[in-house]
Formats: sequence, C-alpha cells, structure tokens
Amino acid sequence: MSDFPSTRFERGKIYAKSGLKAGKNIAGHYLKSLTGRNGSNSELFTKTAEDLLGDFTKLRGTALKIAQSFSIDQGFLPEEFTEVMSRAQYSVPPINRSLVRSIIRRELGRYPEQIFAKFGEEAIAAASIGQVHRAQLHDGREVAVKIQYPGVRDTISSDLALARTLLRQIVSGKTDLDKYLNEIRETLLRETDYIQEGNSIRRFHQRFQSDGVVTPQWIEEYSTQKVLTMTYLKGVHLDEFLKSDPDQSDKDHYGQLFWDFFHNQIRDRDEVHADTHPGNFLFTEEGRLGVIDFGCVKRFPAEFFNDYLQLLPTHLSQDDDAIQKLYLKLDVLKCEPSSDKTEQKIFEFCKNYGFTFAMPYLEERFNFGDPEYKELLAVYTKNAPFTNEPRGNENFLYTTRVHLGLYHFLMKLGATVDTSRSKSILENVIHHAVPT
Amino acid sequence: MNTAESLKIRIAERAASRYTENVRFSLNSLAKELEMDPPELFRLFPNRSSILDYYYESRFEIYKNEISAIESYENYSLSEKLNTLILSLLDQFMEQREFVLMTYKQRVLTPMSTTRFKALYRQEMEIIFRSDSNRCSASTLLLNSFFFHALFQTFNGILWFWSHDRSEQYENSMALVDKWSVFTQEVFYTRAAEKGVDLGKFILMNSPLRNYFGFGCNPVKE
Repeated sequence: MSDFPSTRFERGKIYAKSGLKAGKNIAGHYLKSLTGRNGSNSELFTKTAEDLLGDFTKLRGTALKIAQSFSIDQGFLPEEFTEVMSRAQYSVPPINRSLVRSIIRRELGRYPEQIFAKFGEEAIAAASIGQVHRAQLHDGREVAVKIQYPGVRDTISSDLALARTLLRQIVSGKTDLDKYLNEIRETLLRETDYIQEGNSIRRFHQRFQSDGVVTPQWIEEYSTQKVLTMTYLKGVHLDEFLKSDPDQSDKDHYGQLFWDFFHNQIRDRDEVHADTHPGNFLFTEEGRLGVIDFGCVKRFPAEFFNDYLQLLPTHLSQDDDAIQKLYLKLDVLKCEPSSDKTEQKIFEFCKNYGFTFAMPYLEERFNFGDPEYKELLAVYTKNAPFTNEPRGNENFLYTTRVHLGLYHFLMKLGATVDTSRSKSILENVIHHAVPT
Repeated sequence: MNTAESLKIRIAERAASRYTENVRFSLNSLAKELEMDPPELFRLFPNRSSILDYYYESRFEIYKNEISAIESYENYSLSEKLNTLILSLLDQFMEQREFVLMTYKQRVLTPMSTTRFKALYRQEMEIIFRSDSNRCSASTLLLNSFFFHALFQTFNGILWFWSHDRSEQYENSMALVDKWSVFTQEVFYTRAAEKGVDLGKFILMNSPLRNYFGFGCNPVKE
C-alpha cells in the first residue's frame, strides 16, 4: 500500500513558500551550476536538424510519427530537432482527390458520392498517417471521415529501420534504442488500425461525454481498418480561440475542463488519450471541451503508472532519498548518483526539473499563464544535461508527451486552474495502488 | 450510359465470371443465366470472343460515367486525372481479377493489331495530357505517339505489379499509381523541360554539325 500522505502537498509548501518564486530561485541556483553548455551549439543543431529531417518530415507515412515520438523530454534529441519536427507535423501534403475516392471505394464498396449525401473533396486535416474529410450521412448527421494513406501499415518496419539509422547519428552510441522502438512499433500498429480507434472512440464517449466534455461517436457501419467515420464535432482550435481575444474567465473555464479531463483519466486508472496536441482539442460554442483523435490511446502498466504519479508528491516533499529511489526504479538513473559524476548531474537536473514540474500542485489555484513559469520550464528543457542520451522506462515516451502537452496547452491558453480536486484524485489513485 | 450499354456491360461482366468458372462456356448457358433469349444475345454480340473483348473496352464507358459524376473533375490536376483513370481501371479489374489475370495478355497485349482497349487507353491519355493547361509549353514536344505508347507500356507495368501485389486490397499498387502520377506531373509541370529545350536548341543551332542536321545556313566563305 502506498504511504502517500495527503499532507505531502502541504509539506511541499515548506520548501516552496511562494511557489513560483521559490521554484525560480531553485532553478536559477541550479542552472548556474551547469557547465559545458552554451548557445553556440544551437545554430549547428538547427542546421543539422533541417538537413537531416527537412525533406524527411515532408514524407507521409510512419517515419515522421516515429521521429516525433522521440521528444526532447526524453533526452533523445536537442530541442532544435524537436522544433523542426513539430513544424512539420501538420504540413504533410494531402493525398489527391482521386486516390481518396478509390480508397473509399475499396474499403466501403462504393465511391464517396454514392455513400454520403455530401462529401468534402478537400481534406480538413492532413497528417502523417491519414487525412480527414467532412461529409454528411443520408440521415443528416455531419461526420468526419478519416482515410489512411495506402501502404502506411506496411511501412512501419522499414520506417523504424530508417528511424533507427537516423537516430544513431544523433543519439549517443551506447544507447539501447530497441526498447523504445518496440514501444513505438506497438503504438503505431494500434494507431494504423482504425477499428481499434473506433472502439477507443466508443469507450471514451462512454467515459467522458458530459456537460463539460464532448467526444465524437463512432459510425461503425462506415468504418474499416483504413477508413474511420465518426460524428463531426464543431468547434475551434486553440489558436483560433485565442485570436478571438477571449475573456480570462473563458480561458480559465476551458483550462479547467482540460485539466479535469486529464485528471479524470488518471482517476479511472484506464486508457489515457496520449496525443495531447492542441490540434486534438476543440473549444465548442456551448462552452464544452471537444476531444478528438483517439488513434494514440495508452494503457500504462500499473507499476510504472503508480511510480510515475508518485514523482509528483515526492518532488514536492523534496525527499532526496525517495526521489533517487524512484528515478532508479524508473530507469532514469543508471546507478547511485554518489558513485558517478554524470548520474549525479542527471539526478540534480531531475530533482529540480521535477520540482518545477510539480509546482502547479502546490497551490489551490495555479496560473499557467504566468510567463515566469513558462520561462522556467523552457530553461530546464534547454539545459537538460542528458541531451542525445535516452533515459528512462519506455512508457515515459507517452506519459511525458501527455503531461507536457497538458502544460504547454494551458500555458499557451494562459489559464488559471483550480488544482484541489486533482490533488485528491492523485492522492486517491496512489493510495489505492496495488503494491508491487 | 444508356440502357443498351448497361445491358452489354452486364453481359460482359457476367461472361468474364463464367469464363473463370469454365473457359468453354456456351452463349446459350450465358443467355440462360442472364434470363435472356439467345437470339437477343447474338444480336448484341456475334460470338463469345467479342463479349470477352467488350469486357475490356467497356471499362472506359464505366470510367467516363464515373468522371461525369465528379463535380470538380475539370479542376483536377494532371496527377489527379491520371490517378482517376488508372485507379478506375484497377478498381474494375479488381472485381474480375481472376479473369483479367487469365486473359489480359491474350486479349489486350498479344494481338497483332491495336486492340480497342489499347486505343481507348491512348485516347484517354491524350485527352488528359493535351487538355492540361498547367503543363510547361515545351512538354508539347513530348506528346507524340511514342510517348503515348510508352504510357500504355507503363500501365502494363503497373498491371504486372498489381498481379504480383500481395498487400491488403492491393493498396501497394494504389500507392504505386499515386507516386507515379505525382512524379509524371512534376516532370510535366516543371520549367526545367523548357530550359532543357532552350539549351538543346541553342547547342544544335550553334553546333558544327548543324548542316548535317539540316539546320545550318550556307557557310560564310572567308
């Protein structure tokens, strides 16, 4: 049984009396101690990233998806590489209209104009694996039809081999990439099976459809492994929402919905929407949060998930021994920090970054719009001492993506959220964790 | 597509299926299966072979019918039009795959004279290429009978790939068609061809061999 005390969040306050200020001081002090890194590498990294990945990222298929899975937060790639990949994420050219028609005919038996009352020829979104078209069913329902590019599933193996070769040029030599690549392979196989995604849509709809959250409904009769039809959600994405110059109360409202959605997933100890990209969330006119794209949903191993969640209160309590123990267990530290200079460096980084990461849980209300907090996280990211060296359990690939995605979304939105309920959720989940 | 054409297509497709079951099927048995009087069938087709040939010819009727249903077809790019034609043929062939694998070589490729299918294919390709307003002007030089013959050979290559394609729903063939048509479009839309023609013309006109090619004026005597 976990001994997570409900008071740990309170204890954290002893160390961080004024939250952000303390965090910033810690960061400042810690960052001064970092040596051997300066900005001169940045230009070189950007150039190399563009050279290596520039054309590569314009390709359809899973190669880009694989590369994107190796985010900077795993310590695999310098930030400049991540930026190049991020720019490319939604710039994949759509496939041509005749191919779309042919795919639909092969998958659903007839051409789109014969199946749907209306079918938008132009894709409303195009990404590495497939693209989405708007359509209308004969019963009047507005739907989104997701079409997988031909041959994508077959390219997973060759793209993984390509990614392996590419990553070998970037990451340090001794790194065991296979465990991460295997994890990505499993995820991609699920992501390219639209029947699995349809089932995820159904499960998430059952779990989360509410006054605050809206998710699509799966239209099974017009779906196959490569064509996915679901009800269309009306709403605007984050950038468009911000352009409308919303009130702070509106920002806080949506921010709270997003924060709660994230923690409700933890509460259920069930599948988690693991692609926390702004493009996958909508702000609806009725004030609800729309959640779309269920291709990448993850169910984390209980032991890992519990250890991951334990990091939050452990960091806040600043118990060095407990933090060290957790990072050793999670494979972030390879040995006792006291016995190895590099490990000590990494431990110091994790300890400080982790504390900063846990700071929103220190207070009853946390302002993600505070530019100082954003700057603080950015400074840590840029100064990670293990760039080019992957560390940690393979599941970190997705937990970090989800968690950091949440923070980046809320920071961009500039929302203040009430964290009290989320703290009880975390306490409850950790408290009821099955001992391992 | 009128009723008579629809009926002929239905007969041809049924005959294609019958052929895969029994290569020596009789027209009487086919007529019976289609619930037609044999004389009615003979009025439309003189013999069994003409029905099977019509199967290939009629694919273009279906293709034309399909593109007439696409509202924005006129705005399609070159690659989209190429895709539409080839994918339409492949989609149709997929429904009678066994028949096509058994007879395409014999009925479309082997005959000494140009088959109707080949002629129609070249005709459709000519329409697609010549009507495309985004082509670079120099590419007109390429649009000759050799080029359209090469395009037909390319189609045969794609069909060969399709016949060996083991991917689900033959989607690798689909991807091949897409990649080929996008590449072809790039070749025809690029200005590099224009510059190449300009360069070639310059070299030819200023080459010592210009007289040999019949481009030269009388040499100036010193």
